Amino acid sequence: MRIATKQVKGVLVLVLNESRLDANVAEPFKEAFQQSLSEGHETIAIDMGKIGFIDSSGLGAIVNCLKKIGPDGKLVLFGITPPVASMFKITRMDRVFNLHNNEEEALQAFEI
Amino acid sequence: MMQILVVDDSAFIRAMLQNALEKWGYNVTTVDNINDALQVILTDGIQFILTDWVMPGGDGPALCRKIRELGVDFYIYIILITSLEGPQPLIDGMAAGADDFVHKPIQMEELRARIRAGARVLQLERSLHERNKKLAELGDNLLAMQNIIQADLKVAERIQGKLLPANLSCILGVRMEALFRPSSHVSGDIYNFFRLDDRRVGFYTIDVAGHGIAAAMMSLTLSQQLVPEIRPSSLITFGLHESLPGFKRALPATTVVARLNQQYQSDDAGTLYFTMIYGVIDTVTRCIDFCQAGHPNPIYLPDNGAAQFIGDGGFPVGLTLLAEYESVNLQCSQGDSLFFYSDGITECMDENGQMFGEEQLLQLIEETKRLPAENVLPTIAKRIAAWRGNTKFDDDISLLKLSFVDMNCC
Repeated sequence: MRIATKQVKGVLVLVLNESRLDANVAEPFKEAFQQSLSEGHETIAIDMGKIGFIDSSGLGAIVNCLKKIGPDGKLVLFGITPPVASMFKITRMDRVFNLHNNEEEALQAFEI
Repeated sequence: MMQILVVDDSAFIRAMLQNALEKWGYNVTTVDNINDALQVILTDGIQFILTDWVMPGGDGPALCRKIRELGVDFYIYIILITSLEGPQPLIDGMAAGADDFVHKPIQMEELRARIRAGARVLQLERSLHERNKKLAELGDNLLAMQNIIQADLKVAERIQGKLLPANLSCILGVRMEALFRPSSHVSGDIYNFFRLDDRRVGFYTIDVAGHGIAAAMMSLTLSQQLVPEIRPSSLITFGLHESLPGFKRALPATTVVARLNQQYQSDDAGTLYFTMIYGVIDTVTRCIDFCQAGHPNPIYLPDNGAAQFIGDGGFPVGLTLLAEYESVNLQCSQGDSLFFYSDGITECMDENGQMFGEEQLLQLIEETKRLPAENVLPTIAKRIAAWRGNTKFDDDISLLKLSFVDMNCC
C-alpha cells in the first residue's frame, strides 16, 4: 500500500497512491492508519483522488478508520472519484463520512 | 577440520605439501594420479583439491573437467598448481573448472592465504546447501498441508452446496431461479427462498465482505439464523402465528435486517460485515416488501414494461449501529420478474479491467424478455462468462430471479 503523508495546518493528510482500495490492500491500509493514530494524530484527512475502485473489503477498512479515530478525533475524506461515490451512495456511507471535494475544502472542515 | 586432497606425481612435492598443510591444521590425503583422485573424492567426499598441472596419465585441467562432470550435490573447490607462464594457461585452467591458481615455486604463505579464501567459499556453499535443504523440506510440508486443506475445502463446498436451495423452486405462485458461481471452493454469497405461512414467502440474498473461508463461515451462521422454522435462533419469525397452527409470525423485512445489524457489530469494525436483501412476498396480493442493506439495486422487469432499477441503497449489516433501515414496497402483477444480484456480476472485469457494469446488466435483462423462462439465467451466465473470458471469477457471483407465475403452477 503506497501512502504519502504530509502535515498541513496541524492536519495529517494521507494521500492514497493506489488505483484500487480492495482486499489486497485493506489490511496494510488499516495498519498504516493505526500507525498514524498511535503517533498521536487525531485530525486526519484522506486523499482518495487516485482510488478508482473500492470493494467491500476496502469499504470495511475505511469504516474501521472512522471507528478507530473515536469521538475526540476527526476524519475527513476528499477527492472521491465517481465509482467510489456510487459505492458510498449505495451503502449510505455518504451519510456517515465527512466528504469534501478537494484538499482545501477538507482542511477548512477542521477550522470550524 | 577441513580435508584436503593433494594430487601430484612427485613424491617430494606430496610430502612437502602434506607436511605444511598438516602443520596448518588440515587433514591431508595424497594421491599421485587423477584416477585415484576421483576415486578418493567420491569415497571420502573431499571438497578441497590441490592438484599439479602436468602429470602422466591425465593432467590437472583434465581432473578439473572430470570433477565438474561428477554431478555431485556439493561444491568441490580446486586450486591448480602450475609452472606455466602467461595468461593462456590461467584461461584454460578456469575454463576446465579450476577455482584458483598457485605458481611454482610455491610461496607457502600465499598458498595458505589461498586455501583460507577457498575454505570461506566452501563454508558459504555449505550454509547455502543447508538452507536449501531446509527450504526443500519446508516446501514438501507445505505441499502436504495444502493437499489437506484442499480436501477439507472440497468437503466444505459440498456442505455449503447443500444449504442452498435447488436452482429452481416454486412456492405459492412465485418461481425462484438461481445462478451461483463461487470464486473459490467456498463462498460468501448465499441465498434462500422459503414459505413463511399460508400466503407469504420469504427470500434473501447475502454477500459477505471478502470471500473464501472467513466469509463462508459467516454465511453458514447466517443461513442457520434465517430460517422460518420454529427454533429459538430464528431471526425472521417471532411468536406464534395468529391463526395458523404450526407456523410462527413472520417479521417485517426491516425488522429482520435491523436485528441482524444489532447482532453483527464486531469489535474490529469493518472486517466482517455483509450486504443483503431480505424480502417478504404476499402471494395473494403479489405485493413484495424488501429491505436493501448495501446490496446492489435490484432490477424489476414488469410483464408490460421496460427493465428498471428499484431501490435506493441502504446501510450494509454490521458496519454501524447508527444504521436505519427502510423497506421498498412494490406491487407486482402476474408475469413480472425481479432480479437480485451480488456485485460480483457488475464488478466482473474483462481482460482489460473493464467492469461488466449495472447498465449492461439492465440491458441484458431487458433482452432476455423474449426468451423462454428456462433460458434466461443460462443466457445471462453465458454473457458474463464471455465478458470475463474464462470461468475463474475474482468474486462470488449470485443472481436470484423471482417471477410471479400462475398460482396453479405451484
